[in-house]
Amino acid sequence: MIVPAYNEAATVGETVRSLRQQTCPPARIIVVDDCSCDDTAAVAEAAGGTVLRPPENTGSKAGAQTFALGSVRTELVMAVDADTTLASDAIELLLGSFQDPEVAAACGSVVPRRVRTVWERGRYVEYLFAFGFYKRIQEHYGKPLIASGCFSAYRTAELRAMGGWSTRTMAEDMDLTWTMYGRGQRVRFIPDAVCYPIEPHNLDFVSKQLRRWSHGFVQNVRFHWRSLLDLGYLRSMVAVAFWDALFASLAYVVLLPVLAIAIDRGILFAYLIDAPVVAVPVVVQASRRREVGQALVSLPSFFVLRIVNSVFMLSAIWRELVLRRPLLVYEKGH
Amino acid sequence: MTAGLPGFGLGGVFFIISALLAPFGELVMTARGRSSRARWASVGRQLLIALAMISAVGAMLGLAGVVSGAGPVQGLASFSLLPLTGTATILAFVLVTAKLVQLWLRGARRGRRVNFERREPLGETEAS
Repeated sequence: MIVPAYNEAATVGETVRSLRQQTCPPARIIVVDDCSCDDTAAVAEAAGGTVLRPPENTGSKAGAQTFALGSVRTELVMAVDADTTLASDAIELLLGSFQDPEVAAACGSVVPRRVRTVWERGRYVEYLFAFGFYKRIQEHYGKPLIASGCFSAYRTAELRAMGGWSTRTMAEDMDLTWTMYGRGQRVRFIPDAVCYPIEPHNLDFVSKQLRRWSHGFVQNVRFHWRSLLDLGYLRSMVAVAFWDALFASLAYVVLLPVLAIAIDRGILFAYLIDAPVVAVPVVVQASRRREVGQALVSLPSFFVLRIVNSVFMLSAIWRELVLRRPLLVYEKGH
Repeated sequence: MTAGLPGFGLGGVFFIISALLAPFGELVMTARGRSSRARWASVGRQLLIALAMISAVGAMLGLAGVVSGAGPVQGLASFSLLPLTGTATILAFVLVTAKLVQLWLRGARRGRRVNFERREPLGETEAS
C-alpha cells in the first residue's frame, strides 16, 4: 500500500490506522513523506506505517507514488491519499476483481468524509450522482472513465511496465486508466468498496483542485485521443465529456447570463432546470447510505460547484488548446 | 458528465440512453453464457434509475402546469419535443463524428502502410 504524503500530519495517522483495521490488511503500508515541513513522517510511523523519504520533493503525487513503486514486493499494489480513510472491507472487495487475469486496475466509490461547507456539499452530491449512476453504467460497459487516484489497486508488474504513475499530465489517474485501456487491459469499478477523502472546504482549495482536474482532463484528451478512437464506448464517453466541458461550460458561464440580461431574468432558472433529474440518482444513492436528508440539503450546492467547474474547464481549454500554455506545476489542493 | 466535469446536457442523456440500452446488450451476453444474476441486477437497478429520471421530467412539467393553474395534463402537453430532438441530434452528431474520425484515421494509417509496402527495396532501386 502506497500513501503519498506532503504536509499531511493532521490526517495521515487516521489513514494508516484505517488501513491496518481492514478485514484484509495490506502486507506493508509505505508512506512516502515527500519532504514535508511538518510531522508527517513521525505521525505515519507512530501509526504503523513504513516511511520512505525521497532525496528531494518529487513535485507531484504521481512522482511520490512512483518513487515508492520500486520498494513494492507484492503482486498487487494500492494507492491511497494521505487524507483518505477506507470502509473496513474496501481492500477485500477490490482484491476480488483481480481473479480475472485481464484486470489491471480496480477502484471503488468515493464519499467525502466531511460535508459541511458549500464546496464539500457540492462535491458530496457530485459523487453520489457520479458513483451512483454514471460510474455503474461505465462499469457495465467495461470502461470506467477513471480509476480514482485517491483509492485504487493495480497489478504491480503492469504498473512497472508503464513506468509507474506518469507526471506528464495533471491527472495521473486518468492518464494511467486510459493507458491501460490502450494496452488492452481491463479496469473494474467496485461500487461497494468505499473510501472517504477530505474534500476541499473553501474556494481557494477547490480552485487548486479544479485547476488540476480540468487541465488534467484536457491534457489527457490531447495526449490519448488517437488511442481512444479505437476504444468504442470510451471514445463515445470522452467525446461527450469534451462536448459538455466546452459547450455546457459556455452555456453556464456566458450564454445564460447574457440571455438573462438581454431578454428575461427568468432564463436564469435554466441553471436549475435539471435539478429533479439530478436528484433521482442522488436520493437513491443517499438512501442506501441513510443520508437522504443530508443529500437534499446539499443539493443546491451542487449547482454552485457546477458553475465554478465550468469556469475552470473553459480556462483550461483556452490555455491548453488555444494559448498552448499547459499547466505544468502540480499544486496541492488541500 | 462525471466528478470534476461540468454539464449535464449530453452526458446525462448519453448515460440515460446507455442505461436504457443495457438490457439488450445483456440479453446478448446471456445468450453467449457470459452474463450473471449480479450483472442483471445492476442492469435492472440502473434502468429503474434512468426511468425515474425521465419520470422526474414529466413530474416537473406536470407540477409546472399545476402551479400555473393550467393543470398537470396541460403542463405535460405543453412539453415541446424540440429540446429533446435537438439534444438527440447533437448527441448523434458528436458520436458519429468521433466514429468518422476513427475510420478516417484508420484509413489513413492503412494507406500509409500500403504505400510503405509498395516501395521498392532500396538495394533493387540502386541496382537498376
